[in-house]
Amino acid sequence: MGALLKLMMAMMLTLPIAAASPPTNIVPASFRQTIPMGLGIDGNDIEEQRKEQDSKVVTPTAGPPPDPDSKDNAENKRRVSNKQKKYHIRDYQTCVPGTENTKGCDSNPDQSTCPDGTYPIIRQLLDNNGRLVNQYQYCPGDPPKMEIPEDGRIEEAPRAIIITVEKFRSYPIKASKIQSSPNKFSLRNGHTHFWASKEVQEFKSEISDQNVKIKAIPIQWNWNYGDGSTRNLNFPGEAMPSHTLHDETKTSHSYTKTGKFGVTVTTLYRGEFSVDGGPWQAIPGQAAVPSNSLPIDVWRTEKELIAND
Amino acid sequence: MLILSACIEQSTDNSSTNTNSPKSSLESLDSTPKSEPSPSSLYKPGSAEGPAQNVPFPAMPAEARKFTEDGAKSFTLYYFDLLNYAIDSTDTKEIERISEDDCTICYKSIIDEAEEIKKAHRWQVGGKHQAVVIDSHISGKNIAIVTVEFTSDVGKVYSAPSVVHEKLQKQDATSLAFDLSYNKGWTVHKIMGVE
Repeated sequence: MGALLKLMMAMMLTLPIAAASPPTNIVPASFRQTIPMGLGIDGNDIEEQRKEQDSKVVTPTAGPPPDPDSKDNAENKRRVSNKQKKYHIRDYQTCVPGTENTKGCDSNPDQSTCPDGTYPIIRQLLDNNGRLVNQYQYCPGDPPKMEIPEDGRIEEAPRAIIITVEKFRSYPIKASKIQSSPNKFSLRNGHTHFWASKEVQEFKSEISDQNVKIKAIPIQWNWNYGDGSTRNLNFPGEAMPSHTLHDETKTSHSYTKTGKFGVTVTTLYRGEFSVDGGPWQAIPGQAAVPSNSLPIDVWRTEKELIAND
Repeated sequence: MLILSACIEQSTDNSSTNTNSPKSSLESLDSTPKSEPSPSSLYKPGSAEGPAQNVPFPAMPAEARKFTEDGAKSFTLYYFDLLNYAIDSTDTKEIERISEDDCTICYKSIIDEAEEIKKAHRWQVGGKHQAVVIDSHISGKNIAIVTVEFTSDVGKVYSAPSVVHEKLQKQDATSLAFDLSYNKGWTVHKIMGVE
């Protein structure tokens, strides 16, 4: 045992001490920070245009200005709601990491994320003619930026089945399973290899007498190593039977401190659905499914063995 | 790691586009023997010494004239070609023709800005825009909404040889929606950011 440890330590000595990787830098896609001028479209102009636009848009929930003479508020409200404009809603997803191949697009690795790690959906509000009225990012569960009352929405196609991200998230999507090498154990400054499972899951549902199939496709694995460092990867990693602690891998992590840590991975799933065997349609938004915690016990080796070498 | 490499690729892309695009237009000029380019008619990119010369006018792709989602996409990307052309040449005739009068950003950020630069005898080097279409749909009768994500390079506006009037910062990926009208061809009704 002593000889083995000694050998290990000799190898460890040649390893550069890996610093804990910083949490993935998530830069909000805010253009307020950059103030380029000159000829070209810049953030200030976009913002000014937005403000101008916003002042033109009458938020449907804002309601009529208070009328002190009105005795019948309900009647008043109804009259206004009949007069109000109707809106189409169109949700779409920008190119998010992990969908480049299916969408044929380039993702922006720095795009801002929702608190649960998923990527925001872009919601467009269009008027009756199809003109763009407003466009904003939203995370499922956010309070609506513009509340459209039911009678203010234009039905796209009556009886069309749409799977919203909220509905998609309600299916029992399984988390990825994680494993480590060495199994649940590591040495300080060694490279612990982690990998997660990758499984496309399918659900069946009957909605309005139609058979709907829903697919959950994993696109991103957001690791939390339990020592304060996190990392988002668009591949799960794989088992490496001959891995040793001095092999850095694409999914390995190096602990700089000893102790017991809990490792989790939150898998982002994008969704697709198909109605009665029809074409698969993309669901904007993703589901974030956290895994169980994998305990890792990180040890250090005896100092005197280093001196002996 | 893919995420990282994508990031690196993107940043190298950005820095190389500036030098690549004039090169490719030079090559295309060279390969057309009929025009017999004399040295004085060759494209010369702008520099600290002076504005670009003989800037090749970008031709509108045939696709960009069609009333289809792809047509609207192609038109929007062409709009960025014209914007980059205007940066080099301060010629806004064509971009003005395809921008509707009440398109605030078209005028404020591009057309009026180019006029101002021209009037003040300044010139811009760099600050070119690159756009990728992320969504396109026909939203109404003769209307399409195209959303792009664009970036722009660093640049400088000169007021005299080697005298920098202002420095332009790099713009990170920013989403913009183009609200387009179709009447025998596309025009830009409105350009809007994402809140």
